[in-house]
Amino acid sequence: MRISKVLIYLTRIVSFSLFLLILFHPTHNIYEHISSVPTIAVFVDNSLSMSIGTRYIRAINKLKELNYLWKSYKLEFFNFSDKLYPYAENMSSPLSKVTDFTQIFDFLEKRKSYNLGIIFSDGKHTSTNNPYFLIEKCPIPIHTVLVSEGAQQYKDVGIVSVSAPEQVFKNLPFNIDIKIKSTGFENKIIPVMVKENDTVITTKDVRLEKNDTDVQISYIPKTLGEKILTVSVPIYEGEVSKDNNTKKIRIFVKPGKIRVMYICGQPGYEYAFIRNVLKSDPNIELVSFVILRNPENIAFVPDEQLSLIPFPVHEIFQSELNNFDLLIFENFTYRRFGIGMNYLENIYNFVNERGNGFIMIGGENSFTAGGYKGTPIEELLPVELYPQQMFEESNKESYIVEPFKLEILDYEHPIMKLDENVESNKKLWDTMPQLASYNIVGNAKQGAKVLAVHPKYMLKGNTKMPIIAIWEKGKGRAGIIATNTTWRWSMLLAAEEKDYWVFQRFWKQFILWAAGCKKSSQEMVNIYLEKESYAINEEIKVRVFLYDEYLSPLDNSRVEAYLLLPDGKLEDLKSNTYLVSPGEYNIDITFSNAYPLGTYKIIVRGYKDKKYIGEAQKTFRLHQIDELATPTSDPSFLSYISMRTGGMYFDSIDSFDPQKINISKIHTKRIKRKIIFIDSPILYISLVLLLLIEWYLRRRTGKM
Amino acid sequence: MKIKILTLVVIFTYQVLSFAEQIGMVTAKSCYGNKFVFAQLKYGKDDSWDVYPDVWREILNFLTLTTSIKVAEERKIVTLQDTDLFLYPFITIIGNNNTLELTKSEIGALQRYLLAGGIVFINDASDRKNSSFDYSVRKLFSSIFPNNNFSILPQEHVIFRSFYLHPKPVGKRLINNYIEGINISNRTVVIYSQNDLLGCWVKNIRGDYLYPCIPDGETQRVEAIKLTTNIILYALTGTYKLDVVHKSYLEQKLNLRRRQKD
Repeated sequence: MRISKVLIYLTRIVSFSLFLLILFHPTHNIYEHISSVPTIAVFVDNSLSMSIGTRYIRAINKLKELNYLWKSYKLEFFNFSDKLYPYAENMSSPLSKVTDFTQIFDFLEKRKSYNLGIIFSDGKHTSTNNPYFLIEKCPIPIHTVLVSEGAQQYKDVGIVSVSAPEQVFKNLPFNIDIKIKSTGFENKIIPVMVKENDTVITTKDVRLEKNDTDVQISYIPKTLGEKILTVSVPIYEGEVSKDNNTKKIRIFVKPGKIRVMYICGQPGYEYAFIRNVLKSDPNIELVSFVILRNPENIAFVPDEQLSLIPFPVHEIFQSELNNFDLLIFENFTYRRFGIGMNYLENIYNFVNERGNGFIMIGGENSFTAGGYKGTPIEELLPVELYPQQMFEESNKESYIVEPFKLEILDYEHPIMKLDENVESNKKLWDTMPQLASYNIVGNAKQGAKVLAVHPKYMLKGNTKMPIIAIWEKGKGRAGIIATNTTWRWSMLLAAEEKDYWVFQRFWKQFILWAAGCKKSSQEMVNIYLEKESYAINEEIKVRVFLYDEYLSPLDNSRVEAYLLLPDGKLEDLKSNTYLVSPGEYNIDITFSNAYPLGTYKIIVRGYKDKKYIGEAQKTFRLHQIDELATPTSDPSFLSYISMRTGGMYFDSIDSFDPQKINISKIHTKRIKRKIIFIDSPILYISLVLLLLIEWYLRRRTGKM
Repeated sequence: MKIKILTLVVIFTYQVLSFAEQIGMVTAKSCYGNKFVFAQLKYGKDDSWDVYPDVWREILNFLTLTTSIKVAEERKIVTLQDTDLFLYPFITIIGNNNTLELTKSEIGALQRYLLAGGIVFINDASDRKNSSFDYSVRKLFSSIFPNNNFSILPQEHVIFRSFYLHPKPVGKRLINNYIEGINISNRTVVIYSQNDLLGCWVKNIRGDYLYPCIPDGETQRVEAIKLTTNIILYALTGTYKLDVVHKSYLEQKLNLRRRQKD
């Protein structure tokens, strides 16, 4: 009885074990040990840069020395440049304009039959494909051999890079950073020239360092819009590449901040209100001086308790003047502050020769009352001035405080256009509140434009006296407004519950005009491209800026962008265009090899809400990658490859000794025979038998 | 027939007057050009708005004597129903133990006045912290600018350097060691002193100051006079003294003052 119980348990255990064997398919491998010859893949760069000096010839000669390795290793030779292909001595002269190392690592990753790689190259990876990720995944060690010349073997001066801020501002200096790579010209002093279009804007003498020379050139753009700057170094005899001696860069000159100098002779509401307009505009930088105390005023407390500063006459009218775009005089007489005629001459030249702006605002110390008759300032003004003597003899004032209604002569001038709608604009002006004072000025000069007059005050020739007059004076602009009570527009329009912002609009427009900023649809849409020529596979970032009429970024805008190909086809760039910030868009384009080389054009149309505001176009060239742009080798890249893959780096072809390569025979295990238990029918039969035995035993013992 | 003629006469007269006013022939309003006018708000049903009827004279004399400000040598009394209010971008409101309560249209006018460039200086002459005037002022401006409450004007505010450097925020009394203001779009459109700043200026018929300044006497009065001047200069020059060109020079002066105090 006890024996049969033990037998039942035994049969169960054994049958369960058999069941597990059938379930998990256990196999048994019988191995055999074999040894094989290691395989080495040798890659030789045959891109165009290898044609410099004797690079390629020396690399090929070195290959012959590798014959020694045939005894112990299996060798496979490849050429690589823009493609990778088996080495053929008669077909491998360096011609390709691109070196693409990624092909080596891609190849090794796919073909896992190599034990070592050796690369002969100058290290110049000129393809836009990124090799670094593939290097990290490389399954075998790579030895790298730098193929380059000594310093005496070739000569070259090349501009490696030119960089400048993406956007620069008119009249504000910015730096152009230039990197020059030179070989064979150490310590030579060379001129680095920057041209804007065909005009030389600056030249800087630079002493060339051993390898890289960094040069920084400062430049102040004077006009708005896009400029192409050409940076160049001379071409010297014996240089391997003449193409790299010139590099072009695009800059986009924005209006930036309009720098305004505002001199006011007395504290007053006109100054406070205009100042508020100027300070609230982020595009305007205001520097102002208000005469808070005259010599006849007494000091109530010691000087250190007063927040007054000396009037910096020399700085304003001499040393700093030309850093501004616009000078405003309000109710200011030069006579009280020792301002000599030479300073007034400076103001004249500031406008007439340097192309800046000048506005004289009225007041009891402006125009004739300010003593400007017969001075260079009078020459700047668009109106004649009467002599002071005339007022004294007739016992009349040249500054009258009395209300009057401005009579507009030109509603359509950009200064006077307070509303785009002609009728609304006229209505705005016709219902404008009265002003409260005026200066008596003479007739408008020839060439001047009178925008508004006093309705009653008649001058010689039965003409109404100008209140707002402007003109282009020499290279600059000058204007007058013969009153200092325009602040009333803001206050009295508010009293009438009307749009008091017209005061702000008027002054902004006056200042923009005087500072030389033009309002035109052409400037409302702007395209910025960093370069004028791009290589295949290079990412092109197109930046589009939309401005409103006050040159502020345009809200609620929309752009349509198209690409005109050299073959005349038009591509919609909708999917490449995205909004960066209000009024600013980026268009990202990358050209694959499928695109034809040649001249392309980007066309951008801007819209404000649904209204078309303008179009801008920009052309650029698509070219092949310039293999010879920097002919010097790149040892750091080769060194990086060997370091990351566990190989060795040889810094010259002579230092590479094939005998140093020592890879022992590769010992590998190979499966000779595989026994799979599941395949044996004995297992199934045994399992069935055991189950039957167990069933029989249980029946006999009565343990069902 | 008579009614018809009368109507035509009225219409004709109205049009003539309108035209005359438009071309400047008729002016019912005083004209001060760009001069500073001491304008004071008349409010309420009695004369309690006019706490210091002659203070304007002292202030204008002082401004003429010590600054280059051109002033209109009179006081303009304005109401919030009158559009004349808008001819004077700086108005003073003085209260004692009265209340400043305005109608809906007056509140609208005051709001437009402040947003268009006007500035209001409020002087509480009650010598008390929580006066009925103070309560009504805070209530009024919380309804005009619900999102912009009164805040303490810091020492860096341009009001403390627009003419005199760092005057103390005092008045006839020292109820608060600060003054308050409401800022809208980078402008302080309401300036509020509970220290009775204007009380320091009031003189008797002999030309002596009428009220003592407590607690620091005449030193305190000098500071109050300086602060009043600064507030008016702020109305006429805005944030001028915060410009970078002044910064280093004024810092030097402040350092000199600190050294002298040490």
